[in-house]
Amino acid sequence: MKRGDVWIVGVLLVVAAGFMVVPRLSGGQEAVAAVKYAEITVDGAHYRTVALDGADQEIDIRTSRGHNVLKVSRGGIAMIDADCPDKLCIAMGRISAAGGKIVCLPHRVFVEIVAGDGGASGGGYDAVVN
Amino acid sequence: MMQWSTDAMLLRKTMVISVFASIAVVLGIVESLIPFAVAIPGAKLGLGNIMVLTCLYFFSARDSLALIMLKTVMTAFILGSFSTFLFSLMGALGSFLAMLAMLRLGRGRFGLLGVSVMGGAMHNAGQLLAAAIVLGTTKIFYYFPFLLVSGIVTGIFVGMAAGHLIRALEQIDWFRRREWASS
Repeated sequence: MKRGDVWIVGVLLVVAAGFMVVPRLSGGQEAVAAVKYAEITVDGAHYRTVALDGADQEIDIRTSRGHNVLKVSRGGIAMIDADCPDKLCIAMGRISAAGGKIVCLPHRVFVEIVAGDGGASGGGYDAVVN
Repeated sequence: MMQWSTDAMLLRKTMVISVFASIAVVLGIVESLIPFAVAIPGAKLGLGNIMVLTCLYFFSARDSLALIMLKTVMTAFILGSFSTFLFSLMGALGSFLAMLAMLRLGRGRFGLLGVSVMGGAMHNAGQLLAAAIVLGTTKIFYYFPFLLVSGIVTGIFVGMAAGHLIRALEQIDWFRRREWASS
């Protein structure tokens, strides 16, 4: 291993740490929020916002790209079924904390948990497109 | 006579690159059978990068680009993952450019390990960039650190594998002579 190699690994680790820390410092989403919502975005456009504290429910998302099923339960949300090729969205598991995200890239489905008033602002770092 | 020997060399080189590409495709299929992504969804071993790195080491940027295009298109055909083709392509191109710059402009400052690690990191960056464009949100970059760390680990592994392969290939006279470099 050359010295340049060690530098590369070092710099990349610092970048990784930076990406971990910066959103946490700038976003106030760690605050204890009474209500949590899941914002569902499909193909860049807002699809639905669901309260996570309500009754359990399953959300069917059918688009020309495919089919996804989200399950809301006990203050969290998980992708339980999808007919995408890689099933990565299902592998991402159940999320329950504000800032948690599930992505299904092949179907362009994006789920993010936001705290507060229905997530009108997106409540976190960089609410450019919602 | 001279013309003939150049043609034979070119033919041989084209053949070797095709073999490299087919190995890269097979490695991609093998990789898709390994449930590695369970720990970090979206993380990849990047075994195909072994062939890209080896190709960059021996041949020109153009030859390596040909290998990458072949590998990406063929893998998409075989695995039927056209919905993610754009992401694979952006990742592969990002990784290719980073590795090319480090090998050609690095003046020997970087070993195969560093080049491979950087290639892995840029692969992930390219994929996330494509994803950000498609989804219309930069929020998915929250995922970058996880991919970056896993990319460092797999990059070291891939770099070691490519090092072994290059040393083995240099036992072959044709690879050692590098006739293509002078023509």
